[in-house]
Amino acid sequence: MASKYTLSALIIGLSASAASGVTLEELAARLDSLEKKVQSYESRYGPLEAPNQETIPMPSSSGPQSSVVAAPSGGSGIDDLFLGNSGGNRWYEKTSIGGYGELHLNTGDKDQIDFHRWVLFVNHRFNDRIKLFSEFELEHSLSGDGKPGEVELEQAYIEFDMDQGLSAKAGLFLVPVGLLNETHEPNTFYGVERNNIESKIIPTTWWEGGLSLTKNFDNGVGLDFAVHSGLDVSTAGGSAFAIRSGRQKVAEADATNWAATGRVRYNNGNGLSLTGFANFQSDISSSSAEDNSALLLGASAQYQAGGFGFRALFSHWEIDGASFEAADADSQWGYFLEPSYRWSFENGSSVGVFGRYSNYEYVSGTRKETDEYTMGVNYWPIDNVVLKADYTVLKEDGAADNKTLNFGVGYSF
Amino acid sequence: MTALLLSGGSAFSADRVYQKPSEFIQQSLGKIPATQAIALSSAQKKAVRAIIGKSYKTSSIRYWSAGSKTAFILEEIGKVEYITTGFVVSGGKISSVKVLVYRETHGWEVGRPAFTKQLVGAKLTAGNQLNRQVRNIAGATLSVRALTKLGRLALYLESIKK
Repeated sequence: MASKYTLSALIIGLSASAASGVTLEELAARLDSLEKKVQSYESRYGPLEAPNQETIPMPSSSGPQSSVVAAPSGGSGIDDLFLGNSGGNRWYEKTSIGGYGELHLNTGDKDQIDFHRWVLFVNHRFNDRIKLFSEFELEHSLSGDGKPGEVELEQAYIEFDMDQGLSAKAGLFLVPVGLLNETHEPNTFYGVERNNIESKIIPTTWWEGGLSLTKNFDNGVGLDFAVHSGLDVSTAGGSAFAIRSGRQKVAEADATNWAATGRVRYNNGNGLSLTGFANFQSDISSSSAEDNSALLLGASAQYQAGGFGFRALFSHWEIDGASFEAADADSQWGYFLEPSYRWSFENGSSVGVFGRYSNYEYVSGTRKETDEYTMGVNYWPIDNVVLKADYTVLKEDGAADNKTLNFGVGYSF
Repeated sequence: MTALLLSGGSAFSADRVYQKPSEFIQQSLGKIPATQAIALSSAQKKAVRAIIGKSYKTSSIRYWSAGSKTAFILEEIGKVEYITTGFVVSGGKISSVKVLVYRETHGWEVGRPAFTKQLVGAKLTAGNQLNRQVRNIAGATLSVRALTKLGRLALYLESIKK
């Protein structure tokens, strides 16, 4: 039926052309031209009629990317589809949100339930080279005078992608040290609470304002170097000399002293990841009259083979100055070892068990020497959601053992 | 940095283009066959959603076939950007994988052959999972997940193409 109409149209067209004085030779030339255009189109986008296949354009609820209109066959046509920015250029395609959260129930010496963290990421791609990353957090559910929580800006930086593997950051960013400081979504680690090395020694979550440069090599090596604001550790009160007390959180922070961080990463692409990092503080405490330069050195290792996993972290502060020496706070250090095993199931869920031994010495008012044993289980119904339970025994020299049973639920997206 | 700012970011992309998609197809299949496409039915869209956790970015998916080999160029978001990956599937088994364009800031390690070779030889189980566990890359978890999902998707698509 279609060809009948097409033939009729052609006859009508020819009659009209003849009536308008167009010669048959001119019509033949136009048909030749049209045929060449069709051939050119088909060589680029594939046949106009593809038997047994539906053409690509189809209405869909999956977003504007489904409006791609052709199936190109030529090499350059294929490349045009996939090179460049694949995410779209409308404002809502350039802006993304994400987040994570975790609720904890701790039972033991003190029974407590707490929505520990609720976090929202807002990112925006200004163009292929310049991007904004930001992270907004509500800790402990309720903030305000006398309330337990805080509203915090944990990341807000502009990233400049300069060429393949080289990028820079300017703004407020997470210090590139430890295992959790940059990646701490609850579904990415074992245990309801984060390990204490990355609380007492490395003051995770630790962010500063400054500039950072990253270079990634194709052989799996990565380098990070950052110059940024520093810590300001108090030397009096109940948390005197505690590294964690020194976080100024880039909140009208003292900028007299500076700090720098360097990190070397290696990943073999097959389960093994190693890092070494250093952080230098020109003066870690503005409240003491003397200069207290400080150096944090650390290393981490992660390995996975099948369901077996292993994580280890070591970090050590060496702090100059008579005030820190007098308080026995000039050397603070810790490490943990964490083997685990994870079973994955057909429905996409998985279960993992782990054990963790931590040993750390830190100062918070007085020096504390601590051994900590944790064992527990994570259940991921999907990769983005985790249910956790663990049992922790904390043995601090000179104090009674603290045994806690902890439960948690967390998510990220 | 000054040059970068002056360029306004528009001079060229900072994406890591490991290989052009057309070169991947040419290299994998020995030629660039005519482009074909799978128009997903409702049931197939549902299966795809189960594999990647959401609808695929297009409702029809292109492929290129030569002999027993089928090449797919598939895309999935790692954290905020699409990772463009080429797969060749033959007889229900992944025979080659190559990350073609990587746009994320972190996790570029998934583009290394040391990682992608884990997917070579992988098959689908009855539940549309891979028949092997892919090792994670610390700091690149989301990119690893994205590539694992695309590997499952490539195998599924080969199983339903006409």
